[in-house]
Amino acid sequence: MFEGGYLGKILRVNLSTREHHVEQLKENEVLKLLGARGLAAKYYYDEIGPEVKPFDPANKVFLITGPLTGVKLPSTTKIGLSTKSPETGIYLCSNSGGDFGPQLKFCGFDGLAIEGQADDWTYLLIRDGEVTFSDAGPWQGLTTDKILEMLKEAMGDKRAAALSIGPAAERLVRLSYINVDTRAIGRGGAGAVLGSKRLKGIAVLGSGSIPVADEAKVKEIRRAAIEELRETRANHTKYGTPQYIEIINELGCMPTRNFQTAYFEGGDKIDAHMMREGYWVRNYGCYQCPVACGKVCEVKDGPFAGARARTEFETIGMLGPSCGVDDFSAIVAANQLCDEIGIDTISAGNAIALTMELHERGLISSEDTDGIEAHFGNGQALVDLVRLIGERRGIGDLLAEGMAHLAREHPEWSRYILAVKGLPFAAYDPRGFHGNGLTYGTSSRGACHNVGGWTIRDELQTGQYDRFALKGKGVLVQAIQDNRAYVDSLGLCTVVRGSMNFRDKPKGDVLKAVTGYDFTSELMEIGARIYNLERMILNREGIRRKDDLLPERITKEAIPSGPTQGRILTGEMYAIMLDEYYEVRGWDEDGVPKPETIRKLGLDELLALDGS
Amino acid sequence: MEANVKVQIKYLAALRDRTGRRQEQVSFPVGATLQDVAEWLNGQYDLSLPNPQVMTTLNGSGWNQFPSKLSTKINEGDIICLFPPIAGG
Repeated sequence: MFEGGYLGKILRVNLSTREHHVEQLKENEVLKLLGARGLAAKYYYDEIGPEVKPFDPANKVFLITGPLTGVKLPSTTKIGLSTKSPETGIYLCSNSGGDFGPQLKFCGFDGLAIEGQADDWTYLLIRDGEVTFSDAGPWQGLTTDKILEMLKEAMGDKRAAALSIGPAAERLVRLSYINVDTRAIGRGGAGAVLGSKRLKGIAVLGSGSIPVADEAKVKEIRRAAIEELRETRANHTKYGTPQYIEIINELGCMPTRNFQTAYFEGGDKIDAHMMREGYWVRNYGCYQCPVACGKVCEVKDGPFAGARARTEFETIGMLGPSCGVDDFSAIVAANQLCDEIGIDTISAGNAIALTMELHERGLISSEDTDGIEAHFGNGQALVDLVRLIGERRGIGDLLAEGMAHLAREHPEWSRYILAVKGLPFAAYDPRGFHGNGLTYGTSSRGACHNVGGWTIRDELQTGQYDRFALKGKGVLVQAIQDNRAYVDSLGLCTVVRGSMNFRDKPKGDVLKAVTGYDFTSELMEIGARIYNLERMILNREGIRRKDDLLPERITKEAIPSGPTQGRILTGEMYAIMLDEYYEVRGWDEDGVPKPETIRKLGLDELLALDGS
Repeated sequence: MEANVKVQIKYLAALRDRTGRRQEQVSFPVGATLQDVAEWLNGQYDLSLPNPQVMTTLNGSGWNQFPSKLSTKINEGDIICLFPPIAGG
């Protein structure tokens, strides 16, 4: 029924047997779940039961594209992932830019399912329909970027796309990310799943093309979108996401010294202007992206001279203010080290900020930190602590197990741990934007600002959603989450979605032009279906209301300084938002979708549920 | 001598490029409103407000979140911020 966008095939590889086969994409599932995140969630539901542990050979990794991935439109770069998270122990969805998704489609596949566990370190080459398993033993210990180079060399063609893991994932550090063509599947530790499977990387190169239903219309949409993006995203091109540092700080929402306060006095030393004037080398963009928001930064002098990294807002926020560090050079150096050894910068920043606070409170000593003076503001300590985690030395071995494990081992430290469902906070303090708290609490993967829904813009410009209001936030967060769920299922970067009218009231004919099927009027319902499917998975894994709550620092400590001084989001305040959210979602008071909600969204039929 | 209120206007991120400065203190007559601030910014920097490419806050809340919107009176010590539209991701 589809005239374009989809290839209709999934490649499944088994690392235990070194076999592969091709299976058909199921059209009824595509109609209900669109692609990428939606379909990856369905594969997870069907194949990864609650009994499967993250490092079991039975855990799988699903990498699924969307109908727009690789199509000649701006930033059609995304590939979605699902797997059991080593960091949280529950469902993980994630996605990445880069060329991997488009190249997989040029090979003729909508997705890749990875299962089993290799006997020895392995890498995969996928060239069109041909799959090769090769020995990656000599690559052990190499950095993520070096592995990308080696993979492209092994493919014999620099146009190949690749993904890789670093030495941290080899050591099963649960904060490990997957480097996807220098972009990242960052959160939740998916890199460690590949590490457990002894899969060091994958290169992919295809010679095919992606059919579209109406080529002339696609060209027309592309021209208009690029024109709009050049005007509306010019700031993103110049400053990238680091432009938010100054804004979020001025709004009193910046995690500072492990969220002890929400305004960082050294903000002007690490903002986008400082980056642009002192460190910026060049922009980089993902597949077919006219915005090129990525910023390559390099340290030119001082103790970190030569350090080079791709700094983003979240990274700066968590490695900078949250660790009390106002030295941009140290942030770049720590960012580079995270990238090289392969750990997520957001989780790393949280782990280091926690270590610094524990150290300053005398709850751990320099003996625990292998002699590192783990004080807030110490840039060298920041870099050294990244290495400590990556190498599992001293307290780094405990931090490498993730926040959920840490809280179980040391319940007395829980008041200093900022995480939901085991996933550490992103770089926004929810006491400054209460909707953001609901986002962290109800995100499908733990305290995430993307999957959970980014409320800050709405909370600043919509009268009924004032940032400190409680009523209305359930409605707001649901709409943003559903919007994000379908956008994540398109294969399109969120930065460009507005140029093609993929908002919470979607319009336009992009999907009709690409696939021949007009999904547009159904998109928000598809988003809701995906979000509820994810919740059903989480429920199956034991997640309930108790797991949607915020940590003590947010609910019991008021912000002591800055523009939001005195603000707090108590448990009672949060419950008002959470109750409303459950109600608008059609979930019961314990956060479980009601049978009528499941039926209304067609999930009973899709999941072949009996008696719903 | 006419009484004035002084407010701090901050130009964040790319707005700093537009105005050439990070912030400034500006005096307005007592009783002035956000509309007066908008007109002053237009005259000073050719910055037309409201504008979909500029977000505006008064003491941390969006201008249009106040019941009186642009007719909202400004007070001594208020902080006004201008910045480009922000979106997560």
